[in-house]
Amino acid sequence: MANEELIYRITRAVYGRLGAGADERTVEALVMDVYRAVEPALAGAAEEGPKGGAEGRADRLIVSVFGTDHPGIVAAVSQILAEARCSIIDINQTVVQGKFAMVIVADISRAGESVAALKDRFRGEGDRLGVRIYAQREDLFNAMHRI
Amino acid sequence: MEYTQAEILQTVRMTEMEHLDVRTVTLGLSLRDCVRATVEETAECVREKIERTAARLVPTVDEIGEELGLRVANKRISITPASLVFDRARSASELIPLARAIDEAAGRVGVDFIGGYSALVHKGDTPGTRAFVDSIPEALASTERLCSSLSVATTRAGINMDAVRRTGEIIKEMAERTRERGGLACAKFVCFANAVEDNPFMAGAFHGVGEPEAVINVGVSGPGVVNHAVRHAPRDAPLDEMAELIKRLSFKLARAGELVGREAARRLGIRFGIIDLSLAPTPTPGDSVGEILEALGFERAGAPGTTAALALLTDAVKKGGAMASSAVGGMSGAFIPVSEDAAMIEAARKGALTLEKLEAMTSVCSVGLDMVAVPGDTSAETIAAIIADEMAIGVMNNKTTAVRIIPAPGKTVGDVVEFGGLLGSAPVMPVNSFSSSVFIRRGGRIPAPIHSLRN
Repeated sequence: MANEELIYRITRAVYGRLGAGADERTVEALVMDVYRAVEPALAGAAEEGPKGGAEGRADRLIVSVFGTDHPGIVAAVSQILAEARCSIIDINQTVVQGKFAMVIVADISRAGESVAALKDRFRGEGDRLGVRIYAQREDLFNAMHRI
Repeated sequence: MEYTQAEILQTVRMTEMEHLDVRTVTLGLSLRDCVRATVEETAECVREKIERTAARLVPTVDEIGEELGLRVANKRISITPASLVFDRARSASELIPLARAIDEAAGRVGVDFIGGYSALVHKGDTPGTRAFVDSIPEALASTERLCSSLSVATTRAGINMDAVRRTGEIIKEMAERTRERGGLACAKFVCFANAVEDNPFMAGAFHGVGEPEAVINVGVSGPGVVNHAVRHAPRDAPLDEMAELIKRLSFKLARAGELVGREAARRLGIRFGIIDLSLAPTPTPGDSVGEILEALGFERAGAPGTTAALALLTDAVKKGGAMASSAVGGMSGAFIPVSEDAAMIEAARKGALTLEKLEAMTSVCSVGLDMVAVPGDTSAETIAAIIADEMAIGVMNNKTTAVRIIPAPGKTVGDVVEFGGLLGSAPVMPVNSFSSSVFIRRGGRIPAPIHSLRN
């Protein structure tokens, strides 16, 4: 099941950042918040079939985060998305030689704030965390990398 | 994940580190319905129309840039050649209210330049265009955002040498009128062979007579992106591989630019026109066409072989862009403005890049002698002769060429003229000191070449 797979991936990512000693209930609440935000978008994506995704969408953001690895990065970024009512559609996160890299595809169609406001919050949070957070509409990537 | 991490990283690197931006979103606007009996009425209509049509241009484009994470450096407007909007003037001073109205309207809607204080005189003039050409120096010296251009030659018409001669004179006058600012007015004026009607770049943008009521044209940049890729390619990679590399990048730049243009057009309710693929440098280190040329294998831009390298670059940019979009237009090639490109400035200072080498390079790039400063005592005839050479390259090769030259008042070879901002700083370059005055004083017309008879 794709949903279980997604829940598992979010949980793994959150534990990965907060460490194994993180409060179980906080993690569970955070994962469920993120998951609930994601779920409607997943249903929408299934209805639209593969074409919707393949064309790149104006209502999706690609959030990319780069910097030195430390606990709390995934949690902080997903917290901002959750608060703005943006669903996470996909997450990919790696750490290579202490360098943290994460890409989140987020659905902003139900977002309670503008992209500019969201980016401001990412900038502030990025400064606090010591990482660079970029947010760009998905259709830019589609235009540049897909024919 | 729909995109690989490498793809996402590449886009982020381009937009955040390699200065990839959309150089300009330019609103082309017809003013043909603003023709009135008096210049005051015409000016009022022009002012009203620009302010009404372009009211949302700047905030809308900025918003799109923010959402895409792709900076749109400049928002601009091009208008119907102003000489066509008011052709009744018989003296230069009559036209100044029109120039000021256009400039003020541009200021009010927040664009940095407005182009189209222009006249098409490639085959001759009218009493109205004569007065108009006379008005250009004062119009540019007394305004901030106004840009002007003259079409003095086409492959079909040949070269109007009377207009070329007069252009040399008004360039001198412009320099003199803005003496204390290094001759700044000259930086806002360009003369063309085979002028392009949908060019979004300044100073030469104007809204051609065959264009629709209003249109959004986009100028994409990206020398920084190409420079980075060329620099990181193996130093012994053959040139066909380098061409392929540049072509692939150009494809991506064009696609990103077209996305911005189409989105701006949709939100503004104005039709999308063209995307101009020109690599346009800025004074920022790295964002330089000169550096790309050097990365291809030269100690300095201007060294022997530079023309061949520029030919490769321009052609690869065009091919990549043409594959990416069916709305390619404007100049589409590479710009080599000396003052706006850090590596070109350095090459000129070191003596690697001469005026003659630049002239040769213009035969294979998208424009011509651009933002070139020459000694302040260069005569109007010599400037006209430099223009004539450049126009001949355009006319005979069926391409656009242009001259934007600044005879910097009181300056001589070795001095530097500071314009600031995007216009950068221009090292004063030496000019061949032998006279061309008899040739220029002949006037008349250099007939259209045999290959203009194509029907």
